[in-house]
Amino acid sequence: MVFIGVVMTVLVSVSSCKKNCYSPSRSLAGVLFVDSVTRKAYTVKNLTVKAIDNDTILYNNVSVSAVYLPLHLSKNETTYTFTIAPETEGGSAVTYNLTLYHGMEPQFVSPECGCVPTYLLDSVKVDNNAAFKKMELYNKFVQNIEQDAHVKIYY
Amino acid sequence: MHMSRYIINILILLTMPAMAMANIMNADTIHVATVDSIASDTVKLVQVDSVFAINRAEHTADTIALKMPVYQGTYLNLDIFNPIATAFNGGRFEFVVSADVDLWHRLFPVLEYGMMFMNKDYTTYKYKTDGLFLRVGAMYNFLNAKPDRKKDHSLSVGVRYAYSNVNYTLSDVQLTSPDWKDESVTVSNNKKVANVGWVEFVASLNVQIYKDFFMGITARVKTFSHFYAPCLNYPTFIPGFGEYTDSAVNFGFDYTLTYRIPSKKVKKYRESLAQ
Repeated sequence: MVFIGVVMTVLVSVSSCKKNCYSPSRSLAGVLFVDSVTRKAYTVKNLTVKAIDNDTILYNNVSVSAVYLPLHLSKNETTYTFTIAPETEGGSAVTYNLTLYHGMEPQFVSPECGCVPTYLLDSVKVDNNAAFKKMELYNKFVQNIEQDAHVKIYY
Repeated sequence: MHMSRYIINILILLTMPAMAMANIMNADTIHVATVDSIASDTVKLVQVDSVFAINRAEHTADTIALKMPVYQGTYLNLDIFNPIATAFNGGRFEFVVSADVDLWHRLFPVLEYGMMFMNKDYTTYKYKTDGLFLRVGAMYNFLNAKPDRKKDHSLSVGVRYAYSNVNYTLSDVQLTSPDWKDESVTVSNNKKVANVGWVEFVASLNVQIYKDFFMGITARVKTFSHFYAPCLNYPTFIPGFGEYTDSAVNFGFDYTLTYRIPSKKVKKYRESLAQ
């Protein structure tokens, strides 16, 4: 009887717990800027990142070593414009378009959180290779993990 | 004369802990002799020691003649907690059967097998999953392993390595993008398969209810989960492990009914002890 009492108490306790969703609800592609010599994080100054299709400004004139970018649900590619403003007056801005090619699959996170999109990156391309030294597709799985790295750009 | 008597008294004091230990380890007859020897005159010490030695020799001879078998039975366990919990955990049905072998009533190698089924229709998606799991490991019992024990209760801790093979399908998923205006899709995944492993640390209490029938509770800490191959879409519920979340640790609870297949050698041994 004591055992049954323990079991019932555990069951009632478990069932009465109201759970909340604590998992990230978005899957963002992480682009990291890396110093090609030291292999450490490289801070890009005065960076503006814009999504091409809807002209949404994702980052506006910020100094960062990583950006996290949303991907399309219904298309297999997403393009962004990266603009690095000159640090001194009279200098010229560097601009390039970065395109991520991807497939999308839904992920069931939990009954509390529901489903989120996840992406498999096929490739990444830029239209101006002179803007940096090297680019690498580092991790092809874009999941709902915060601050995950997928593309590395070496300066 | 006084000096020698003084030395003998010190020797008695020094040997008392050892005698007490012998008292625990050996038969009751030795206990009586030991107590008597402390109470009596020190001159009798040599006599007592000889009795002590004889009793010990007899006891050792008995032990050799009637050695307790290493194998002391096989336990067949059925978990009833998880099937009942189906009513409380969102319709995830899981059951576990297991077998463990009693060695010296100290060490219990364990093999566990279980299955899980879940088929849920939510408003914006449908999730179907099923799979099996195996756990292998051992328990160490801290209670009552003496050959002349009257009950075979056990309080044990142990470790398991677990493996699960899980199939899962996600269909009719309605997704809306928070980033792209008016972008929403309805998509489905094909059936996927994943192989998952993890480690469990287990504590268990088993109580002998009647003859070869036992009831037990088991608590589990499940950690070090790992997929055998990287996958984009992971299974949300892993058979035997539970919900796969960002958390590194899952907890489990079993309530088991057990039948022991008794060992004939143990039965003979106990009968000989009773005679």
